[in-house]
Amino acid sequence: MNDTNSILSMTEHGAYVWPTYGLAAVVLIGLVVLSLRALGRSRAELERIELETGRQRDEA
Amino acid sequence: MNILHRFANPTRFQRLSKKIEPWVLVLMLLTMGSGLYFALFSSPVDYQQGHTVRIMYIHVPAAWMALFCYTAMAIAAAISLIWKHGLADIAVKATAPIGAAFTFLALVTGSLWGKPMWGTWWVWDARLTSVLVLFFLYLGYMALRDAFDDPARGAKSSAILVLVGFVNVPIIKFSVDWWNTLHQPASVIRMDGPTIHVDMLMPLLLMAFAFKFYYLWVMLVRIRQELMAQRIRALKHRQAIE
Repeated sequence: MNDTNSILSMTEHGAYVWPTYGLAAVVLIGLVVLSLRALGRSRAELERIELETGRQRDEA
Repeated sequence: MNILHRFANPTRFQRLSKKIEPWVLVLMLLTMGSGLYFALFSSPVDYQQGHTVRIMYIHVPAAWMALFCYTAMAIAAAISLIWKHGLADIAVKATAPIGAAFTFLALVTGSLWGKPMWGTWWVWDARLTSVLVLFFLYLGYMALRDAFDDPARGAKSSAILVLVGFVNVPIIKFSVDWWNTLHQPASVIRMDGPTIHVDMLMPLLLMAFAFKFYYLWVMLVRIRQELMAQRIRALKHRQAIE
């Protein structure tokens, strides 16, 4: 228990170490989420436009 | 140049990218997982810095990536300007937010490390100031790239900005040698080899590889997204003409 506590608190330096790792996680995961969402949106829009274009060509 | 032009074909690139991405993701997760374990739990505490040495395993690889991404952007910008290589221009655009994120991390984690070690969050010394300039160069590139109605003009102007801004990269690297700074000199990438103990070097290198794989994976995803966005713009343009 003491070991877990000492790892978490890192003596008086936990207040600097944990925010470092937390911030890195937020920034790096945030960028992945934004990138994947943009990819998903573009894929959906491209499929919609290609479907529309194909339909218009068939009608013509 | 033939190899470069072969992969300028969007379909060929997307096919290759889809094959590579899962492998890069697995490598990233393996190196990141093991790197974090060693960095947080298994690596020794520094006899002077105590646990704050653990900040190094994020701060130093992030700072390396800040320089690496900008160098990659400068090379791709040169290829884009000289050989009109479309994919090189997209690679510059895809890399910029990743480089900006790593530069932001390097700045903030450096500040979090500076407070307990130097007694201050920030000093206007050569290393810190030149990295802040690098962060503004990333932001400036992203703002300029989208500031034109004509995407080709935006790409060309921002590529020139990237090349001009590259002068800052050697300034950052050698700032700790050229000027008296609070920041310590290099202890890993040195002519006479690393001066850091192997127990600390291993997690540092694992995290450095993890960040490299992260960059590669996110860049490939962003390039695929931009290729789709370009195809959407082309199809909409064609629809508008018809």
